[in-house]
Amino acid sequence: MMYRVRNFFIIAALLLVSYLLQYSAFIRIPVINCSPNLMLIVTFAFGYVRNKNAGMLVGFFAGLFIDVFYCPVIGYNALILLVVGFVCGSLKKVYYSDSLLTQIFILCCCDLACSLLYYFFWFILQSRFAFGFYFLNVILPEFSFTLLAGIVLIRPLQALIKRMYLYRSDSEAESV
Amino acid sequence: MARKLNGFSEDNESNSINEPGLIDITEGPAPAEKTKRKLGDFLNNFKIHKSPGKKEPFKANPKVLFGILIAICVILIILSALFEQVARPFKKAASYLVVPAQSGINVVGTWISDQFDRFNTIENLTAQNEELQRQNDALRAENHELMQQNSEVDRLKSILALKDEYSDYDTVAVKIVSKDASKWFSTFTVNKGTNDGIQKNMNVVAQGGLVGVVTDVGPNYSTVRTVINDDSNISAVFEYTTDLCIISGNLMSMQDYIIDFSNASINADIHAGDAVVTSNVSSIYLPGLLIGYVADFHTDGNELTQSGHITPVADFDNLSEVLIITQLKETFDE
Repeated sequence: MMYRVRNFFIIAALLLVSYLLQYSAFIRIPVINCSPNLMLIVTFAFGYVRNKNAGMLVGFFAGLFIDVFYCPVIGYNALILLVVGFVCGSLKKVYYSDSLLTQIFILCCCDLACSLLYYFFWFILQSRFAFGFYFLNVILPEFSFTLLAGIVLIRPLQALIKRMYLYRSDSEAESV
Repeated sequence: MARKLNGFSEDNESNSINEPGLIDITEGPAPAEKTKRKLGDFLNNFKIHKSPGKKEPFKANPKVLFGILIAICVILIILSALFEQVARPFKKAASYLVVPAQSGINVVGTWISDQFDRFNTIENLTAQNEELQRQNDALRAENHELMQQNSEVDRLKSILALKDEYSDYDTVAVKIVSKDASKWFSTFTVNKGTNDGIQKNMNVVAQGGLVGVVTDVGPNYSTVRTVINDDSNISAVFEYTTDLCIISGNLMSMQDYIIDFSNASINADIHAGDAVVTSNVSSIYLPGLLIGYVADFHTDGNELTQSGHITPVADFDNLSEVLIITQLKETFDE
């Protein structure tokens, strides 16, 4: 029981720290002016290392946290990250792989999908086109920064998550 | 009983106190383990036992959970699109947690960037100094010329009943604590809210010009939507004529540090370099706030309006402190 409570607080702290880093720290670096999508990286890590449930819940609350301040409509990011968590949890069974390259590749696809969906819902549906501009100036910097942050952060995150759930036996961890 | 070698125990009765990562391939536990087992067994008497099959109280079918969470998200989206009050409790709760931390980060970040600034070399400073001297001389000449036109300007202003500079308004100085990280929209959050008298729709100015408008307010934070945001539309006039136009933000042209203006009458007398200020007819923006200077203009295809681009006065990449004017347009009397 105590492990469960401890894990809850660790996840909450992880989400809070990545939110603060993403929206207050990295954004201040003068030249680049964008920041990596750390919430996505955390959601992906939970979905891939643990199971679908964990990925979904972490994604839902991470998205809700972002939506509260930075989205005109509450629930959009929650929906997107929820689906990302679910998909990453499903992918784990398909790939069975711990290799960094596979995980980075999946992370890239997730980030591209998130950005393109954002563009679709907030720009195309309001008939603001110019995809080339948005791709070069908005999607690409964030994508590359997320890629870098992912390469740096995925291994430590994996280690942390595995350590968090070490108290459970294998049969429980693989329940879904 | 064979045990797995991967570090996890399969014992059912001692799962509560078993150390994680215990690898034990011998026949029986060591003496220390025996005492721990006895202690565990003793303490087990006081535990509330769940039903034997259920070790995992939260073992939901993922597809069901997926469906439930998606339904919650869709309901939240619909509700918050229709009513604004839905977001309020979430934002209040989050703001108590997050905004103080962001203010702290702001302090650290400012200190760090100050340290970096000190590493400017002497040559940089000398070159800057020379450039500034040259600009100063040019400005002196221009100033002299402008002062000669001042009396006529005063007369015209009194005729048009334009309000004076925004420095006559009461302002509150705030610091920017976070900006929207995704670069799609241009909004930022500042560290004061209703506790300091900030309300929705107050105008935000900095560096001599209009920066944006407060769109959302909590107890200790406010969200500002900037002029360059795609959603932002401002009714403006060219300062020395009475021609109206509409200034709209545009992320694309902001890369070149210009924003669009449109719907200026075909008869409007526009020149490059004209100042553009907020008009009287806007329901949100106070009149007379400088927005920017005309960069270029052209006649539209319909031969009825002109449009073009404006260079905004504020430098949106380097804002760290802004002023919020506490006078609301709705309660403003001329």
